[in-house]
Amino acid sequence: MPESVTNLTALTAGVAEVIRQAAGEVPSVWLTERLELHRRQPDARAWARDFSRVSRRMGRRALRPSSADVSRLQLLGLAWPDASFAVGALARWLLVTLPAETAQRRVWIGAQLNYGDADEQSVLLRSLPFVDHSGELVDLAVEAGRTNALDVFAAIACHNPYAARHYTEAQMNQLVMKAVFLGLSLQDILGLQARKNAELARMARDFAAERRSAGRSIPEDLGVIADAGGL
Amino acid sequence: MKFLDPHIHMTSRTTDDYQRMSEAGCVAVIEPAFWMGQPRKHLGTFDDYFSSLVGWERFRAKQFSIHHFCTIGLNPKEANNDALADDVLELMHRYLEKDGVVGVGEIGFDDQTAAEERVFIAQLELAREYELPVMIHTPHRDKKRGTDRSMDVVTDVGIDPGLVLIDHNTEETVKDTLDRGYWAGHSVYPETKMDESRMAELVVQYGSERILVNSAADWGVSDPLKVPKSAKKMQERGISEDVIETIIWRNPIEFFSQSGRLDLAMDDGSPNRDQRELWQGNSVLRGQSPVVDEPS
Repeated sequence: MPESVTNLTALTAGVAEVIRQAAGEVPSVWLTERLELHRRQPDARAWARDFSRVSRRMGRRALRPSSADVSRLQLLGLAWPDASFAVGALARWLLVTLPAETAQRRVWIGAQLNYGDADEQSVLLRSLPFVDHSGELVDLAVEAGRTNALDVFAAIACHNPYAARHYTEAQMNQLVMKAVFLGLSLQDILGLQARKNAELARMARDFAAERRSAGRSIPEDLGVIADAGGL
Repeated sequence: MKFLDPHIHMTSRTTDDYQRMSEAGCVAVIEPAFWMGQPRKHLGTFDDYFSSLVGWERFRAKQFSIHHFCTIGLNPKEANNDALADDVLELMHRYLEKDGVVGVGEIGFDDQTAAEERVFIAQLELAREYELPVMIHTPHRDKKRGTDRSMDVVTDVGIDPGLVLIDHNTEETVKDTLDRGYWAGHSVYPETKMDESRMAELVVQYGSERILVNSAADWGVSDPLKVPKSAKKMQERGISEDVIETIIWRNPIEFFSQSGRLDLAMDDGSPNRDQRELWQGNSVLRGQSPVVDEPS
């Protein structure tokens, strides 16, 4: 969904309501109080601690919103794949969208990407299109994407418009080819059509040749990034 | 036979080990933070080590249907560098609240110095602050005295022994450990520490209450299958299946569940494994055929 259409206020209210429905009243009240506290008294360590423990505070780690609620949030602009919706992840998303000052946000998100586990890093990366409209955190996203942990890489590469908006051509091409190598679907890379380029088409062609030489199959959707020269 | 290895350093093991452990019935592992065979000199190496325990290592384990949890701590061998130790203690705040962290450890004594005691006490305080159980490493040298002293420190700090696992017990230490209300871990090693036959005899003598068995496998001569091998030796010795299951499955779950973070979904068995999504070009599965478990 284009950024201009996403109403962040409506989305955060929707997320808070979905958390209340799924987790119940007590965790929901706790979260609301913590969010209010962080607004009033920003403190990096307290915020980081809540960001880590909020998943457990919301109940069982596997707790998920209903499929109707997932659809509702997707319509409101949360372009996550279904499997990424856990109540704990939504609560973390609320905590990331909270820091109001851009400078503070960069420091907190940067630190948390550095110290986060895979689930935390995934939420942070999925939050970037909502909190960073100018692309100032792009270097953090590129660095986090250097992992081989599939969930974390998919969080920046798939169902996330941030890379297509802010990555340089070289960064974008590396992200796309890594997605190919990891077996992710190119259909899931948002904004890819607009970022196609001759260099990426050449890389796809060379990759196809390498696969043919090795007697291996060529991913079906590789044609998405080919040009008139084909594969 | 399903088991949980409550002390194993998977960072130092290969995917072959994960494969064999999974085939032998391993459902979950606890990886305590430890040393790397030589003292680290920089805070950054601790940071990246802790980070890998909550990150990449969990991902590796998951590909073999094994749940990976860890404990975070500054081990006593590296606690004697005061300036670095202070920095690591501060860094631990960054990691102790993570979902996959089920304890503080392994901590305790090595040379039994004053510096080690200071760091030991500071970490017991951290365990209290983050409401986590504690895994205590007991020293190789002057073991009996070091084990008693470790328990005295816990008493002084005022932590409930039921929240503390004293590890690497031997025939000389296990009675005191149990009598004082602690959980007693036993590391079954190819040559040192404990072996399978002695372990079976201990179980005959002491039963299953608060008794745990682990492989403590690391970068040295060690064996990641020592838990199932010990269970087999117990079977041969005539110990009941119920007692064995308590030791290799229920006890570690009960102890580490005190963290509130041991995901009990594991009680339903291993997650279905599907390596198909991972196999192309992935650093762990380099081109071999993916394993796919049928959904149950």
